[in-house]
Amino acid sequence: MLQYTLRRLLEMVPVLFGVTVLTFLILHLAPGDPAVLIGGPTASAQDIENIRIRMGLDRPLYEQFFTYIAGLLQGDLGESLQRREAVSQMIAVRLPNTIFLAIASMVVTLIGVPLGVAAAVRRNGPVDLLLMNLSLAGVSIPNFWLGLLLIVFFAVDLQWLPAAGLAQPWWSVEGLRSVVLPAITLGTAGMALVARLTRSGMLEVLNNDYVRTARAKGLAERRVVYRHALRNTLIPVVTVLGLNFGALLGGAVVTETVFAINGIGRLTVDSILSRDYAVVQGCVIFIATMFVLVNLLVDLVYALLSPQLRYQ
Amino acid sequence: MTTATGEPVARRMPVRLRRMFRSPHFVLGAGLVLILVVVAVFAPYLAPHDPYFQNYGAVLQPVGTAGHMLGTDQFGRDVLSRVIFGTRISLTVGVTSVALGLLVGVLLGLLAGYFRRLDRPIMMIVDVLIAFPGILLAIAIVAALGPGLENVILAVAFFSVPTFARITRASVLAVREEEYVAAAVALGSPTRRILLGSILPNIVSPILIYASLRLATSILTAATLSFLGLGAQPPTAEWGAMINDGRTYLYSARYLSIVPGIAIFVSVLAFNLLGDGLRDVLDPKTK
Repeated sequence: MLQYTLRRLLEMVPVLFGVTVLTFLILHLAPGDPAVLIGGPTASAQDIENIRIRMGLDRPLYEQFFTYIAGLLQGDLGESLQRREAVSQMIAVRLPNTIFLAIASMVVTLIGVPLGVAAAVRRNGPVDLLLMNLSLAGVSIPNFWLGLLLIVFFAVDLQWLPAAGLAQPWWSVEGLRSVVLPAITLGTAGMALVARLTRSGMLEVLNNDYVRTARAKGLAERRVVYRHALRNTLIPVVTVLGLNFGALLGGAVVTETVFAINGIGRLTVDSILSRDYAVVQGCVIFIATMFVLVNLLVDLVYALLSPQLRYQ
Repeated sequence: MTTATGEPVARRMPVRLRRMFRSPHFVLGAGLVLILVVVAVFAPYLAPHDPYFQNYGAVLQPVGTAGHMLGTDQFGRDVLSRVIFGTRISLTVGVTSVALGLLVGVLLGLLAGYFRRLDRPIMMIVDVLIAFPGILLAIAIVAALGPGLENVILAVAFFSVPTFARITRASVLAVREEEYVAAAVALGSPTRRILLGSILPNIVSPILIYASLRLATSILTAATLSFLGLGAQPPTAEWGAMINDGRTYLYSARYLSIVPGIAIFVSVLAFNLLGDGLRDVLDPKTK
């Protein structure tokens, strides 16, 4: 297991390096001079030159890249050009909100498991049909629009839940109330996906010999479904949940914007709109790294759960 | 030409067609897609007003107003006409970006699957592209290129490349050891002909299914970018941008956000249904 873990950790290095190179290149080889964009229409040639020197844009690209990598290895993601603040600090301040939102959305996503089981045990019945059609709707609904609908009905009309921001502390009633609508917005697509996956996984195992044996032993149907069948369906579901956690980080960009949550996603969008490329670069690299790390963790859990699937 | 199981394609087509029309998902999806295409093509004839005509005498008219079935926006523009013209934009962006992504992705997948030497370097690139979660890669590209529909198309296409490459590679690996490929190699067919003539026609199904599902994702991604202010810019009648504009009036004129959202939802659902239906018919194992 240790060897496998080390191997996977080593494999991660070129991917993370590639992510950094690509993000750096995308944002540095783009048309237009960032110094001109930051200086604005009123900046003089001297102002633009000063900005260029401050940003290190006067140096060759490879030098800029190695300086950036050297900083990155020490946890330095650069400095915001607009706010003159360390990008790592800006991310650190907002990270808790994004993580809270991602965890709450994960809880919503997990509801997909019992829904998938319910659909599978009533295969082709009205419940199955309803749930599967709802899940198709769930993956088709634009999450930013779903967020707005939830705000309109639950915050504006019924006034049950707050429309914006995350209240502190999270574990307080207010904190939990404030995360309900954003979590549903962000978690619905994942829930729909997990429901479909659990259903198809369950359908595959429900006809297996060991399930028939369990039934033949006279076990209660509930026990057969949850203890015998579901357990064997969970491995692919866990993988998708892990991958989905990354998607939640990406989707947070939209949800945080709709609900005015001060998280990394909103920071990314705000920085793009204000053309603060150092922050955009830092956020993109940070989110992608988190995604890769979570995937690695999922792979390791996967290997632990099912030893025969371990790398040879 | 034969299928992977060796049966001639021509003889199986009618069976497949019959199966297609028996799949409710396919029929519903194809019907909705057909309606969307008709609306997009005939938008100038179907729209009751010019989608860009501003009428300050009739701003924020509610749904059901005479002459403006779905109301008007803050500039007095007819919402129905804007939604109709939005179909054109969304379908164009969706189809163009998927076509671009498919072209590059399938080519990379073919090369990676067929040439062992190219497999590792190509899949390394693909792994890096897939390491950007959700729409983050598209966002980074638009951030660099600047807002605008052309850039959205490029960003969304780029976003599709890695998954098309993965699916194609996996399919090539599955068929490359088949006898008909070995026969083509033994006959001395040039590599290009083996790839495009023997392998590609036999891996069309998964690519086609994925393309349809990807159209749904691409329409959604493009609308999301526009909603975030990174895609279509005012006054373009684009659904995501319309919802973003309407957000300011969420309390007083919520239809401005709700109506274009329904249009996005229906379009995405249409392509998802179509993809699902195609999968039921072309790849029943994964049903």
